[in-house]
Amino acid sequence: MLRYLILLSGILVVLAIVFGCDDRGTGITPVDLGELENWPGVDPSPSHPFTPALTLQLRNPQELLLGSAYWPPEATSVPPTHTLPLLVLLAPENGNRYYYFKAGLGELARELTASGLIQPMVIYCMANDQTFGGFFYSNSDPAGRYDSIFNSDGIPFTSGGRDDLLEYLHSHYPATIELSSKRGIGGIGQGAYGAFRAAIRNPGMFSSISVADGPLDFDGPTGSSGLISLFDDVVTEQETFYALDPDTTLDGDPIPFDFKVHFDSAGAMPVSMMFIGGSFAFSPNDTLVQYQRIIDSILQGEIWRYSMRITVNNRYRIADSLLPGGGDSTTLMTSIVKGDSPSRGLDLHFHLPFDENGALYQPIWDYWMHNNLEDMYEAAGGSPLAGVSMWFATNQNAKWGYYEMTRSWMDYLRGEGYDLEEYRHSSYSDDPITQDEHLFDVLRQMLIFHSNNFGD
Amino acid sequence: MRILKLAVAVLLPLALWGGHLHASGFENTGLGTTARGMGGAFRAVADDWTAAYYNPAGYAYIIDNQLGASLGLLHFRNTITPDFVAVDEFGNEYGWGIANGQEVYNFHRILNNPAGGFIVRLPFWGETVFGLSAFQPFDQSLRWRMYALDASMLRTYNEDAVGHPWVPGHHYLVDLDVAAFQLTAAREFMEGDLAIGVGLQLLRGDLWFSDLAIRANPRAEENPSIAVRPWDRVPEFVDSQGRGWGFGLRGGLLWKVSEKLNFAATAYLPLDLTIKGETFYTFIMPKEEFAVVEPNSADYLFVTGEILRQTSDFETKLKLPAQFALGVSFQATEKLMVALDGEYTLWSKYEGLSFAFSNFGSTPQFEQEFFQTDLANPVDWDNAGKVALGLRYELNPTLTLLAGGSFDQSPTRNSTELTPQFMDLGTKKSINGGGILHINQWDLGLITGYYSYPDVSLRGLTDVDDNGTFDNFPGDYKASTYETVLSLGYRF
Repeated sequence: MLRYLILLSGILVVLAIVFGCDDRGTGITPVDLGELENWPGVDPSPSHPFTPALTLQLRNPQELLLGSAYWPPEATSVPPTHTLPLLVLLAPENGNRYYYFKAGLGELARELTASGLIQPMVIYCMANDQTFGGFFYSNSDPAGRYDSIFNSDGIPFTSGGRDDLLEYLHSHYPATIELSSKRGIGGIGQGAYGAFRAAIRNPGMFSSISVADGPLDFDGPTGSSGLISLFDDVVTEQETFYALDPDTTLDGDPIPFDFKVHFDSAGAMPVSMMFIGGSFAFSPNDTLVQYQRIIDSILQGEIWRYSMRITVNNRYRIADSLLPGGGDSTTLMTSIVKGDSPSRGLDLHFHLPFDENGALYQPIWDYWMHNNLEDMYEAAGGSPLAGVSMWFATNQNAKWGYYEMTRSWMDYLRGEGYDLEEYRHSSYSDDPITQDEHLFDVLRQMLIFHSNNFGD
Repeated sequence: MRILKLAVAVLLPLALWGGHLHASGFENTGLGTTARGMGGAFRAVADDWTAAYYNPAGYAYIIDNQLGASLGLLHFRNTITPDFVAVDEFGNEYGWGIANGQEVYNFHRILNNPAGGFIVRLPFWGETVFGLSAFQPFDQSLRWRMYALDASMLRTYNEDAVGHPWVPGHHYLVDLDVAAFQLTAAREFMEGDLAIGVGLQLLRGDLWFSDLAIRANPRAEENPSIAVRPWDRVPEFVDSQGRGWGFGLRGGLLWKVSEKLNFAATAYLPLDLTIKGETFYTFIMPKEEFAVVEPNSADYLFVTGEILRQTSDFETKLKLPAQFALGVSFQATEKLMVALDGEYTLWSKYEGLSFAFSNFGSTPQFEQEFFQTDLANPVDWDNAGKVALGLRYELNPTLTLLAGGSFDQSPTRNSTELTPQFMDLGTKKSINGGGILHINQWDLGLITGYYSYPDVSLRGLTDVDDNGTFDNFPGDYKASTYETVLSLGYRF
């Protein structure tokens, strides 16, 4: 018996030594990118002239809709070897076409795709304006006629359709599926507004919308908050900026601040800039410019060179209607864009929705409210967002009251019977969000949301 | 004297040849097959050369001269599932390149712990017995890879760093060996009922310590737009290697209460070791491809994704804890001996490793304070106790069987500052067993042991010293250790 016990103990000792000594490695399993390992990810090429939608857009003499894209290798194969969904992301105010790539879109998309968390998709990123505070993806001459760009006219891009984004993208990436169930749109800040605007204007075009806090209800939950709460901030911002300017004296005497004369578009005043962009978008003085678009060709040596010029035939101005016979409105700003290069020689002026005291100026505010999502939704009639999955990223510290405006719009949609997904997140140390601190994480959630919505 | 020279020649290289056993904190569990086979309950037995470690007084009762050596072979099978994440008030998590959620193993390595010694009765100071031995009273060795941009889906931070040869392959490492060269003397008092022994130690400490600090991006104040997620923190790898010398004193008494009953008391008082050496730093800088910044500026340094390296000298103080222990043994039958030990180690003295850096080389010209900061992790350890029970059964003149077990408190049991370098997760239990074969004057021993640790789940990053780096490593910790000890003894 004792011998057996000793033998058994010996076996146990050997087993313990053997089991205790095998190599387990480190256990870390990296995501294998496979064919995406050296894939560039960023396609800077999908910037294209959109005529006439962008012919009169400020600082855009080439009528270019600036964009970039993430596309997987199979996106451009002809004939297509795979079918791919399409996601359109709109940059916020001051965001360029690389806004989402700066936050890591390329690497994120490759990693999420390789790990199976998202399906392969084409992600087109549209630029916003970086000079005048963003154009809200609206529909005016100086801001660009984005309603027209998003509105599919059914004419194939290769057959002459020249201001149809979806036709263009389906042409550029043949593998993308021309089904609304495989199309999503999203955005942050003004991009959030633009995404909902495009979806409301074009029911059935997109099956999913993802947004992070933005100006989604101009007058806020109370009807007198939202952007209205920022009017005073603009006045303060302008006065403070003016006071810091050393050239505001004449013969040693200070020149009093004149709101209409000294109103400035300096980038150091972000709130003012946002309202300048919004005014170009919603309350430009020129509501419609009739013009001729003339292409001149000159033979230089053996090379033909082309240039474009605009001949204005007629202009319809807000000021004329507010003050019949011509004249000025209370808040017309004429000092920002004069007849120089940013506007093809046109003096494209705009009306602010508030006066020098920060008081709401109703005639102009009405123009803005016509573009408010609630008003647009109701004007569209029916349920323009029916069948659309909606995802919101919200943060109570979002800038400029975006959080309250977003929640107000969410409340409205819920009241209309929609189910919404919400991704709530807080700031580091509870600081206000000023620099897209969470974009990387929000973007990841957005991609996963859309991928899930696209289905198999 | 020949044997003395021979012993020194054998013991010195043995002690310097790194080895790794551990009890609580970074203390060695012990040495020798008899003591280890009895779970460490050996202070009131102390009848071979390893008494130098357990109770020097035991030498006084050893009749013959002895020469012995043992080799401990260990495998730490530890696992950490990192949860190195910040969590916002809505439960959203975000991390910075640690492989969160994956079961990560410590590097595979069969650790060895050689020890040796001899006992000799020399013809001076009456009945005093002398011995010289070399062993490691303190010892720790763990190595981890935790940072993996490709495994944590964070290539965005700096894709060029994935697989870059300058990025260290290990990120958390401690390889601490404190070797003692001990001269022991013991003699009997009170007509053979009481013996007292002392050992004077020359200590040599070798430290290799690697740490990873996920540091706040210093550009957040000046240019917050380039210090947003995931570039809000910059990984810094610090790798320090150095050595130092010191002294220690070990003393004990052994009281033969009766023919069958022994009682022992011991104390160990090591002095602090000052370790000096060189530190190597590696920084993976953020890579923001689309950022627009001034060339040759601090911002530029923090967006171009370089892998920066620099060096410095360092000095740190290793505060070693004192230890007090009691033991009792009882010869239950002619063949069976039962022993029980209790020890108490003053781990509260240990405060972590704080480095003083100097003589920096190749530090970038911008944000120098950032690149030259001491990233010490302070710890708040408690004193810890241990109880061991052992059995020794003389089966026949040829074979002795050993069995034992222990309960060993962790000094980190109340601490939230757990890090991968020191994984003492709580009261651990050991079970040991084996035997010794006696062939003429030779003794051949083999024992094996298994150490079981409680699982620990640690959540939430802490910065106790408010220096902008995290002082703990949250995650799910699991640990177990397999030990085998071989020994060879010669009596003459």
